[in-house]
Amino acid sequence: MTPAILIDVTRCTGCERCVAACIKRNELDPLRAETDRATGVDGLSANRWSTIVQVDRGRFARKSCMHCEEPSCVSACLVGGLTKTDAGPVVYDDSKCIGCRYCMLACPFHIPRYEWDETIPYVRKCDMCFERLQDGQKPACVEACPNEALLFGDRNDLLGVARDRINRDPQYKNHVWGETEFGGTSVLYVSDVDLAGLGWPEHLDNPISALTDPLIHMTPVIGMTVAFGSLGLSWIIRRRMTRASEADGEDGEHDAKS
Amino acid sequence: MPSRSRALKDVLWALALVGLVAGVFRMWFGLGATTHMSDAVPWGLWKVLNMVAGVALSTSGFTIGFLVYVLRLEQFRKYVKPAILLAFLGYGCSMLALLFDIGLPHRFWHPIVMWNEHSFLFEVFWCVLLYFTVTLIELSPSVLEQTRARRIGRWLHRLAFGVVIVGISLSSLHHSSLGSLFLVTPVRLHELWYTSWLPFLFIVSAMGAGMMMLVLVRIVYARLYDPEPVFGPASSGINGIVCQIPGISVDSGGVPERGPEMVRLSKLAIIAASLLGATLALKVVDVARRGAWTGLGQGQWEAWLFGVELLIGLALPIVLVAIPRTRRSPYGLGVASASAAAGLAINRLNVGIFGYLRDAGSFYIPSLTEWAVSVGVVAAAGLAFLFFVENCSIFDERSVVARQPGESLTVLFERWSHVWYAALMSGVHRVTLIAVLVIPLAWILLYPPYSGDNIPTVPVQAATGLDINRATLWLNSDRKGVEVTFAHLDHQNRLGKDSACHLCHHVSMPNDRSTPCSRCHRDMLSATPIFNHAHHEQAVMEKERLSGWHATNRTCGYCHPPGQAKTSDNAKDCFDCHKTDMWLTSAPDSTINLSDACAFREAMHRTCIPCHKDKAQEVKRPNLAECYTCHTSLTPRQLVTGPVTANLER
Amino acid sequence: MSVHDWIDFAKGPLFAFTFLVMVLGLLRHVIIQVSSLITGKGRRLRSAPWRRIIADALSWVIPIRHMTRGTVIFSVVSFLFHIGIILVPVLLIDHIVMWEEQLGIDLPAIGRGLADVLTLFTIAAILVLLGFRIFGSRQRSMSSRIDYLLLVMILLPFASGYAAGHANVNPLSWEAMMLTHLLSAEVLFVLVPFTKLAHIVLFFFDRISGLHWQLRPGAGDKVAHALFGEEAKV
Repeated sequence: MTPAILIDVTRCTGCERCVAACIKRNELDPLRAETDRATGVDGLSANRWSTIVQVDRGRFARKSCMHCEEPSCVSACLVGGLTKTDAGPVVYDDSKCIGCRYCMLACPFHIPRYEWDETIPYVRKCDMCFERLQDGQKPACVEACPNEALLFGDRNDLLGVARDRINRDPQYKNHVWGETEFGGTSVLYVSDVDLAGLGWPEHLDNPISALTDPLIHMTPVIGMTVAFGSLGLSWIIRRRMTRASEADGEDGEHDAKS
Repeated sequence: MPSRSRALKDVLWALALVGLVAGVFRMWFGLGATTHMSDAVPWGLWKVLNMVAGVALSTSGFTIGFLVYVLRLEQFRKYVKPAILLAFLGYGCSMLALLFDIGLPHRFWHPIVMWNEHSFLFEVFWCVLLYFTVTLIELSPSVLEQTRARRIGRWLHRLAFGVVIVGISLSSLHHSSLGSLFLVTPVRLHELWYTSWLPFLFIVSAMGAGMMMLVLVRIVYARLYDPEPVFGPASSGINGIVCQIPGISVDSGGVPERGPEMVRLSKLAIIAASLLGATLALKVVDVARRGAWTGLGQGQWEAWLFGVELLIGLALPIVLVAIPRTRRSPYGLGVASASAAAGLAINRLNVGIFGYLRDAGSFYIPSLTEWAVSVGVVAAAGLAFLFFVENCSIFDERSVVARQPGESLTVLFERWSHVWYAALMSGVHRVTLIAVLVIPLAWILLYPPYSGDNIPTVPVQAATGLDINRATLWLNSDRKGVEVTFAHLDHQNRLGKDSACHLCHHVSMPNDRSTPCSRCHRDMLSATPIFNHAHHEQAVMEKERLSGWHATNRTCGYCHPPGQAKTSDNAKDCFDCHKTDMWLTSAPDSTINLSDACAFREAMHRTCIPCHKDKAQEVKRPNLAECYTCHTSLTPRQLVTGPVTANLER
Repeated sequence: MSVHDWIDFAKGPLFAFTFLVMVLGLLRHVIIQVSSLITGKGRRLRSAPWRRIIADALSWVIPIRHMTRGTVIFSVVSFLFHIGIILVPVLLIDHIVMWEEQLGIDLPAIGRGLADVLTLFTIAAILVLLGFRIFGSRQRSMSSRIDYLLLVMILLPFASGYAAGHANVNPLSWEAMMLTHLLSAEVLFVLVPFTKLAHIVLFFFDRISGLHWQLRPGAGDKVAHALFGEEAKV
């Protein structure tokens, strides 16, 4: 089973109990979480790993790490500090991080946030309550939701639920966000309004690592080609120069020096 | 001899010292307090200008190596040493700047042992590290020949060919990979710059601009130390001080008189310009191929930046090199090469920073500290360059200044301090004087607590009445654009009509019934000072009928105890005077500090929530204490699909 | 900007700037002196007459010996002047609050009464010293404009500081006096490393630095006249 979360935007009332549960579970500073919501671009920060975004008048959606199936951040991190676990969540190992912030640049959803105020800062993001999952519990946000706007379960089952709801109620848009985008995510959305505000792309179903992986696998080949190409070129030129100087005698030498 | 470079050195020292202060502050206070990078703009000036552009401008190390060792163009052999020095310093200063940029500098070695071979940044890291070692090996013979370890130098020199080939291979990898770094952002980078051709564009433009950088450095070196080979015999006057205007100095034949070096430099410039031409062609084809022209026509500011980048970095240098007159003039070539280098920096800034801003939704102007470190690191590299040039034979064999041993100790008298010095070298005396003046200046300009404490303010608007009787009020709430609707008249009537005002409001003036909360609680999230010191001084003076030279000078003792520093902590309690003036919502608490009003949000929640919770119990309506009772945007709506159907925990 | 903002500016950034100029400027003197001593061509340090150097230096710190030379009043006043000028600026309670806020250094304070007495003594001492310089013919011949100016510059922060702390002698508002106090003290900070006030640290060196000129202790007095005012060059 690949654990996933299905978010039903029609059920979310924006009460932020999930956010409060997240803050409590991850022992974040609630006061700074509040300040960051009011002043940040979208409310996410190193002190606030999940937030509620108003996607339309009266329509809210929880925003946090999408836990992509093939995450861009994981392929970008140069020390392998971010990993996609077999259990589903994308988790961060702060003992490896050097603070280059390439993951923040690479994430198409702007999810990883940095502890800018700290002298020894780390990257912070939702880890789908990885430890709770290992204990067989649901993520804290899912447990806290009073309206069952968040559902936790196997990704395939949840896709079924999503399709079922879309089929039964014509109000829903006929789209499960996260089913195919960027190669699929572990956080899925169904909604009766458009969710472009959450950062979903229009037509990009390939994972981002598909853009870089073929190129990076060619690296040794390119390096060797250039090295041996240069050697060969140098050999040919040297050979031709010797021949030229042999043929022309002193003239050739004179030319080469001018 | 180096009197021309003295002023330049002074400036470089000043900049490097400012950078040092900035670097110390960056390490001490952290990234957030000293830089303007944020979650929206995670990569700032240091990474993009110093690393991506700085490394790109240091390509001459491998391109000149390729020309000389592989293509056997012996006429450029003279440029091998300067090119390697340039590469060494360029890479060195990029790596130094990166140490300030990464959040955990003490872990810079992590990528050596922790691998992720899927990451282009990993590849760049390794290639830059290895190539830096390569330049070190290539440079060491020219340094070691000044010392006793000449033999090691010669031995290393024999490796030259192999090392150059390794260097070329590594360079061709990481210069393109610097472009590939940005391939991971297809939805974030602006369409004018995001292309799958980024690696090719990066390496070709870097090769061209890197060669131009070498041309620039050669001309600057000539201007500072040895004008004759470049500027021609006419320009090196008897006293060595010449101010020449481009195109003016022509001899009787009408042909500008140039040094012999100019011929070689213009040839190099032609090679560089053809590479820049290739970049331009690639760019045009690429933009046409992707149909990104539409973005140019829409008048977005990105289009202007794109145009500036093409104009300064590519078009202008190509044109200047194409015209024989400017190509053969050191000034024309100087302008061309400086413009190419600047254009490359603009291009990298566009790709690394400006291209992301539309997507990030916020703007980024580097902080003073960021500029200081960025420029300071480059200035330090410039000083190192001048040091190498003066002490090793980099540009030509005779450039090493023969220093007399007796000169190292100079005797000085400072008139203003009446102090005699037997100073080490006059340079020490000079540089320390610069340090004494520059470091304090940098300190106060960059010290983070002086530059505002960065606590964001969210000002509160006064409540607006929905109707003429103010029966219903709209209270400001921090949910952007969504107010709290408050049935004011309803509350008033229920709590006891006119006598009930004080239950919610502080009544600070006689007959005061409608001082808005936002008058004192002015900020949504942080406490605001409300104590007016000057007003109190005046009031005490008038009340006590004080007189004298300056009567307000005598008021201090009325609130502050004598013989102690006068602070708000030890001042008299407000209620000592104002007990009858203020009717507080709760009993006066001596621990309350009345010099600050708490945040608006806190004030409102503290007033409403306790009462609502009590009432909810009393009237048995639990909804009364829910958030959505007041925050109407949160009202639970009729669920679309009825009760939950799927039980997923089978 | 209101006058309070100016006072805050003078207490904050301007104070940091001028104080740093003073500290770094003095540090520079120390560095250059030490490096000169080490690399100088003078006598080797080990064979220097340390005992005599120290004795000579101490005899100037504690002016008992010089009292017998007929400059009793001058010596005593100068001694008091130095005590006041060191103790009050460092150990006054109001200044200690500032040290703690700006630099995080906590020092024991001297009592306000003692501080007042010392301040008044210092002000009186400055006036007496000024009098000596103006009316004593021997001293006047040795004085240049900067010597008078420095005394006045030291007088200013002491006088304005006292007035700011004592409302009944303050002819101006507290704000104006405090601003005068801060600004004059800060000008003084900047002057310290670039004038003869640098003897704060150079005092410890000027007996020693005679070494590499091969001068006997006390020879400086004779040289001073010869050097004064000339474009000095060795």
